[in-house]
Amino acid sequence: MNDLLHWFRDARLVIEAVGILLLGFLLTRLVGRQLKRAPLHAQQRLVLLRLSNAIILGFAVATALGALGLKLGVLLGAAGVATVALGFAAQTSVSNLISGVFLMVEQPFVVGDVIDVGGITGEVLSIDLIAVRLRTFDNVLARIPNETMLKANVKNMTHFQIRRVDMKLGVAYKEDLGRVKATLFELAERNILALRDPAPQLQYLGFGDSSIDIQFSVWAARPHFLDLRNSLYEEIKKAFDEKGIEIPFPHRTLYAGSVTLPIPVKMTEGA
Amino acid sequence: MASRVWWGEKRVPIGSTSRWRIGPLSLWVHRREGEWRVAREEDDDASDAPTEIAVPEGDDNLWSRAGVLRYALGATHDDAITLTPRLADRAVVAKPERTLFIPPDTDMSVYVSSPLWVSLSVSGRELASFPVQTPWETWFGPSPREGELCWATRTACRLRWDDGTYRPHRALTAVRVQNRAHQAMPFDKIKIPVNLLGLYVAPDGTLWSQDVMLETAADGTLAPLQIQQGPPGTVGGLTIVSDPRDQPTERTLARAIGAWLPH
Repeated sequence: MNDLLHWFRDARLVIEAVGILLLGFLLTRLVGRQLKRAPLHAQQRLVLLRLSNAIILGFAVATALGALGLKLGVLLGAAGVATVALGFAAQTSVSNLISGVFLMVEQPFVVGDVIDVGGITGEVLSIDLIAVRLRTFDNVLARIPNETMLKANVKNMTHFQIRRVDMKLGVAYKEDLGRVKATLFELAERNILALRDPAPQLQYLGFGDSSIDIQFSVWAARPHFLDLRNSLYEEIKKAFDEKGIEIPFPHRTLYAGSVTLPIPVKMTEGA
Repeated sequence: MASRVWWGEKRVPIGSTSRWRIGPLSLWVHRREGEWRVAREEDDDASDAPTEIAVPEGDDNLWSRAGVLRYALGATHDDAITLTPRLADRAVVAKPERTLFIPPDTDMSVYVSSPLWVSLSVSGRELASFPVQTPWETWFGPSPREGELCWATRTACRLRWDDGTYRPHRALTAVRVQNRAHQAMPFDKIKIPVNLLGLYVAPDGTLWSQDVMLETAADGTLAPLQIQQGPPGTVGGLTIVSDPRDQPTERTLARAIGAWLPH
């Protein structure tokens, strides 16, 4: 009789524990449904879903174990050393996880953006719990841990609708800078991809070793950035060739001054 | 009036090619069994009078060029293609050739023209839509960070709509300006949300968009842009040619608040 009573009591505890687990599972499904309706990005939804599942199920397991009469405190105490070891091993993962949450909240980029992270440029495929996945333009998959993303300087090429093409060029010292400037602005005026506003700009960067250095900047709608840059390089080269404006090669001038002897030059046969 | 109207239904029997010139745009349409082909070219010669040009038979060189658009519509006995003028698919930023100053406490109208698009459709189905003259893009906003991409156009910015030559490949918009400020306002750039406006034709064939109103308060601040409901008010007897491309929302009208950017 006592055995039967014990059996019923144990069965009741097991049923109670299973019920708690089932309740936890149902709760995760409910939270999941609510998250699907919420106005969130796909990666935000995924991270929140996984976090909420982990918390709810973890709580449910702990409560179920408690219902079965197992004292969690004792278990955790007994596993203290293992817990510390596990903590040390998991610190990178936890750091990546927390970094992922920060990235999700701050949103410096979203799926589909083109970013540059420490020299790796690519399209963002996904922002996961632990890492970000990029596809580079030569179709290579790059996986970058979230902690690295948070610490690195990230450049988002596709965040704003317009981008500026900065072209650095040098012209020979003998050139008429007014004529060079007029030529460049005329090219920008004629190029259908160049935005009217913001207007193109020209800056003189300095008197270089071999040329006068110039930066010519023209704005483009983001999708046309590469096409504008390529077309401008071609058009500038063509226009400069037609007008005889020289883009000089690097060169050195040897000067024999009044305090030095003239540089000897020897003519050879056939020269 | 007949010389201004380039749109409408055009018959193109199977095996034949029709060609039209609308401003700087040359448009060819060729019909085959179950297929329509469209080719276009733009040049700098913006002839004022739209014309239909005869195409010699056997002129097949055109159709072997790149850029020809082909549309398969299945077996259809409809040999009519409809050309419809439409306003641009984005807001247009008009810059007057010279800055115009609006004196304080003045109500006036300024007439601005904008480029048109031509829509080609068969049996009620749109095949293609492209600008009569590809405009330049421009950014309109307080900084490269905030703003929107628009089309850019130069305008004479007339004070009388019939002052100067009317070009049938452009539409006129009357901008009703009310300057209640205490200083003259420079009118040197205006963004007109033509994608939110309907297009109308006057009895003389002139194309008009709905009117817009810009009001400056006494403290110099701009009120949100208003689109005047119904046909434009400058001339009478107007009929609608095409509906607005988009519907205005509070957000789109509020963004037009920067329509008038003084220096």
